[in-house]
Order: sequence, then C-alpha cells, then structure tokens
Amino acid sequence: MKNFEELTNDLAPRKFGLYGKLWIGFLVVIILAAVYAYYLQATKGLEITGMRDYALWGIYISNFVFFVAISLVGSLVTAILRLSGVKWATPLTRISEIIAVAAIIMGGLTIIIDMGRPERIYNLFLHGRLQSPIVWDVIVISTYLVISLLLLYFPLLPDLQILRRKFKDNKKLCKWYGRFSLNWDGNYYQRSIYKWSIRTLSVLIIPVAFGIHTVTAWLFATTYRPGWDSSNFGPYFIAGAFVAGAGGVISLMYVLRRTHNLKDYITDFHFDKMGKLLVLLCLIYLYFNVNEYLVPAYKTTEKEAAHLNALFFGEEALLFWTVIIGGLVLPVILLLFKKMRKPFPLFIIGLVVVIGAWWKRFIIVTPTLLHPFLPIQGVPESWHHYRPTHLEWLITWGTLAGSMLIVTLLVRYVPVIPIHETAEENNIIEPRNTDNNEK
Amino acid sequence: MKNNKIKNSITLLLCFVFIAFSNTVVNAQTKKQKARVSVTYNKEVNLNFLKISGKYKEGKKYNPAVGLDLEVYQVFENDSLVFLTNVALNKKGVTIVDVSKALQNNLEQYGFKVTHKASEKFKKVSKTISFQIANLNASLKTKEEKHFIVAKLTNVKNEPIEGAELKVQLQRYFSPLAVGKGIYFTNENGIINAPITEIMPGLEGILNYEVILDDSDDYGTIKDIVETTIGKPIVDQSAFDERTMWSPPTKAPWFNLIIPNILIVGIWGYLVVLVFNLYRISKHKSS
Repeated sequence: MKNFEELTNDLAPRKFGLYGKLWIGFLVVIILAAVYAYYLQATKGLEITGMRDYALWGIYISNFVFFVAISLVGSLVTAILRLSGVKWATPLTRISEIIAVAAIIMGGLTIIIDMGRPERIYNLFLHGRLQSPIVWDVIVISTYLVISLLLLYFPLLPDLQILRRKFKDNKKLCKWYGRFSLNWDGNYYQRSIYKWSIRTLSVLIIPVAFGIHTVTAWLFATTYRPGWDSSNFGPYFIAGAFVAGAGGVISLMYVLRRTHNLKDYITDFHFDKMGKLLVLLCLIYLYFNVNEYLVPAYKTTEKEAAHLNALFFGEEALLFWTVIIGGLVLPVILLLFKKMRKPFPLFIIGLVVVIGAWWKRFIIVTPTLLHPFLPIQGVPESWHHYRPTHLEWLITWGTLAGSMLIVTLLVRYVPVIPIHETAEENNIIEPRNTDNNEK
Repeated sequence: MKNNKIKNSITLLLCFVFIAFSNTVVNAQTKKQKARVSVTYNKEVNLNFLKISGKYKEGKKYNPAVGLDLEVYQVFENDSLVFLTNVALNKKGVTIVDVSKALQNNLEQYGFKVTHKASEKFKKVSKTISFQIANLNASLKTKEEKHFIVAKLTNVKNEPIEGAELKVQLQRYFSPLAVGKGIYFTNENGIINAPITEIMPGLEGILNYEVILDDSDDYGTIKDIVETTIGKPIVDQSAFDERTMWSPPTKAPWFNLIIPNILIVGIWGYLVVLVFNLYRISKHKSS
C-alpha cells in the first residue's frame, strides 16, 4: 500500500521530455499549416474544397460527427459508470473527461470551419428558428460543452490543491494551482457542495449527451434522403458514439500508462474490463447497423438501392466493408480472447476502432448526398463524386491535431488519474492542514 | 585542372539554364493569341450601348478573351477619331459601353472603332461599326377584348421603315416565349400587329412583351418593352401550411413550445447554480 506522498508523486503531472516536446511541435506545425489552409478557404471560399452541389457535406461534417461521437465517452465513463457504482473506472474518469472536453471544443469549431461565410454566423442567433435541428444542435452542443467543462473542473478542485502543495517550490505553478483550486481545503461545507455538484453533473450529462447525439442524428434523419431517412438514427448514433468513445479512452489510457508510468494504477484489469465493454458496445452498434442497412435493402426502393449498391458493391464498397469488418466485426471476435484484452493488443484494436469510427461517419455523411431523390440536372460529371482536396484534408488534420493538443496540454498540467478520489477509495490518509502547519 | 572542369561544368549548366529560359520566353512571346472582336450596337428602351465581345482560338476550342483591354473611339465623317473610353472584357469575354451621349449629334450615320494595342497575350486588333439611328415604339392595343402588340419602326427622320423583321416575345423566367407567329415584317407604314392569342399567368397579372429588331445591318439591335397587366394573376398555391405539422408558429402546439423551453431553461438553471457553487466553494475556506 502506497502512502499519500508516493501516490501524489506517481500521479502528479510532470514536465515533457524530448518526445513530449517533439510531439507538441509536431501538432503545432500541423495546426499552423491548417490555419494557413483555412485562411485560403476564408478568402477564396469553399471552392478550395472538393464539395460541390451534390456533396455539400464532406469530411468537415464527418469530422464534426466524429468529434461529437467521441465526446460521449465523458458521459459513459464518468457519469454512467460513476452513478452505477463501478469503482474500477475511477482511474479512467479524468481521461474520458479530458477527451470529452477536447472533442466537443473541436467539434464546435469544425461546424464553423464548414461554413462558407463564417462571418455571417451571427444570423444563426438573430434569425434562427426553434423548429430547425441546426438550432437544436447549437443549443445542445453549447450545453454539453459547459457540462463537460464543469465535470472536468469540479473533481479537479481537491487535486489542484494537492498539486499546489506539491509544487510549493515552483512559485508560478503554485500560484496557478492555488487560483484554480478556489481555496479548496476540503472542509465539510466545501465537500458537501462538491459532492452535490458532481452528482448533479453526472445526472445532467446523461440526457444532454443522449440529446447531443440524437440531435446530431436528426440533422440527417429530418432530411428526406436515401440512407438518412430513418427513425433508427438517434439510437444508431448513440450506439456508434459509445464505440468511438470507448476506443478513444482505450487508446489514450495505453499511451498515458506508458508515458506517465502508471502501470500500478491503470492495470491489465482495467484493459480487460474496457475490452469486454468494447465488445458489448460493438455488438450493440452492429445490431443497429444491421437494422440500418437490412430494412432498406429488403425494400429496395430505387434510390435506396442505388445508395446501398454504392456501399455494398460500388464506389464506396472497399471503405464500407473495411470499416464494418475491420472496425466492428474483427474487434469483437479478437476481443473474445483474453490475450487480445492485454494492454498492447487492446491499444491497437482501440486505435483501429477509432479510425474505423471516423471513416464510418464519412460513410454515413457523403455517399448519401451523391444519390439524391431529385438529381440535379446539367452538372459536371465530377460533381457526382466527392474527393476531398489536400487543403480540406489539411484543415481536418488541423482540427484533429487541435484536439490532441488540448489533451496533451491538459495532461501536462492536471493529474490524469484523480489523486484525491484514488486516495479516498484506497483509504490512503491525506495529510490535513499542511498549509497551516507549514506556516 | 580540376578547377577548370568545375568552371566548365558551371558554364555549361548556366548556358543550359539560359537556353531553357530563353526558349520559354520566346515560346511565351510566340504564343500571342489573335483575338476575334465583335461589336454590335444595341438600343434597349432609352439605353444606347455597344456590346463588345472577344474570343480567341486555343486548339479546337474558343475561349473568352478575358481582360482584353480595348480603346473605344467615335468615328466621324472625315475619319477623325474621338476617344471615348477604355474598357476590358469580363470573365465571359464581354463588355458594354454606354454611347447615349455620343449619339446626341442628330447624324444620319454613326461610327465607332474599337482597338486593342498589342499586349503580352493578344495581337493588335481593331473593329469598326457603323449604323443609323432608328426608333421602335411598341404598345398594347385592345380591340373587342382581343389584345395586340403594335409596334412602329421609324428612321431618324421619323419615316417608316418597311420590310424590317421584328421579333415579338413574352419575357419569362428562363427564356422568352414567342407571341403569335413570333416574327413579323413591318408594312409600308413601318407597323406590325401581333395578336396575343394566349394569356399567360404572371405575378399580379404583369406580363412584359418585347419587340426586337435583331442584329440589323443598318440599325443594330433595337428592343422595346411593353409592360402590361393583362396576365392571369398567379395565386400562391403553397400547401406549406397544410402539409407541415408544427413548423409554422401558429400551428406549433403548446406542449411543443413549453417542454423544450422547460428543458433548456431547467438545464441551464442547474448550470448557473453549479457555476455559482464554484463561487461558494471559493468563499468557504476554513478560517
């Protein structure tokens, strides 16, 4: 059993080494290149993208849906597992909260990137109609962002105070940790507000998280298009989001376990549990996929058939089957074996699931647009296909790098595993009033 | 010895670069295009303008001569030129020059010259046009509940022009619709009489008819427009209100307005309390 000091030493954030600095440099370079590409887009318009009258939503919207999906992990691990009294998930709560915050920030930004005239965004607030799913999305995303930030911040308060004491020799860090800890000293009154707030947030985030995914699904389902015209879309998106989020947590927990040397805290047991959870989530998502494709394939109306043909046998077939088999079926089969739920194999599977989840969004968004019920006449042949341009990819990579930079910076300054909660759960006694004693 | 080799290599390389560069420059110079410029005189109601268009051949295809700079002159009887303006062709290879002021001399014949001095891309080119002024007056006549478009074409001395071909058409959103036979020839009085056989629908019953003398060698293109209200008024037959459930504010049921707002206000109310809790925590430090 470790004492409190050892626990703090293990879990406190630490300076980046050479690889950490190189990683940040790499992300910054991608972000700067993306900013330049976006400058070109802002000045020349969406003409620089591969989007035309047919594919009016491309990889930007796929990326947005992916970000929204992966942000659901905040509610999965933090809220659902916390409220259901699952203690083993404690080391994973902060990781999932960080992912949720980074993803939802970049998701909101991605929507603005997709706008041809972003300077007119104020019209959305001036003339937005409450009947429009776009307005619902704006409301629910901003709500989810605030809840995610609060759900990250509240549990951090005791940890920030612990860090303030730990870094008392570093004036700058000590000052900032002190400010952000909001005078936390763990007295009865503070603890009762803290507990009530976290419990309230854990309850609040579940309907809002379901709301954000349902509303994002409705952005598609409320338009009459092959592939989107489905009453199944809300739960289908939620199930897919759980898969993406779980894959994201698994990948990040492996990386942090390695970089922060957290083998004593994120153990093989956690990987095994997350592996099993991922199997369950993939199976649920597969069930929804069967619903989503089998029913229209059975009915085979003209336009649905064209759409499904493109997915099953046509232009998008390779991508479609790679995503379904590689990103969903294979992980389920592999994860049935205990060896595959060990950290490294599970990390690889988690990564594949996340990449598959990104491309799954692309499959949901774009092919549908290429097979409309009412085709546009007289457009060039190239408009019937969609290939993202290099600049479009660069901007998309920039947003992904942006989310990873947010994760990296948060990991640099906050403990990736909650120190206070871990100490409480393991009955490790936290020294009290050290400030006063020191004084 | 070794130095000489290096020097020779550098000299050879420079020569190669120079030749390649010169070749590019020469190619660029020899690639000057011959622009084909056309000028037409147009009179539309009270507006007099020259429509100048330019194109050049590249392979088997004609492209618009985008950006072709042109000087526009008025040509007088003694071949003297008076500079009017400089223009450049737009993305479609077309431009318009208002010449209303230049036509106020009551001359029988007017002439204009458009020139392009040789530029980097195009060779020197010039085009001259001459025309006489004619007047076209169109109106709507109604006789025994039948409508006619009557138009009279006269020259500058107000003498009728006989045998001119006039198009009569109705303006529509995509392209005009021929009225009656579509084409009529003026009689000895310079008049045409086109019966309107079918009354078309129009917004508030407004129908605009055009009478056009199209690309005449002597008079250019002249168009007059008759604005009428004889059309069948278009009634908005949108079934939007009928076929939507809750979209129009008047049809939105109360529960649909109340429940989402309760949810939004309720959740944000909690969020305000939670943010306030942060303040409360900061204010309750043990003494």
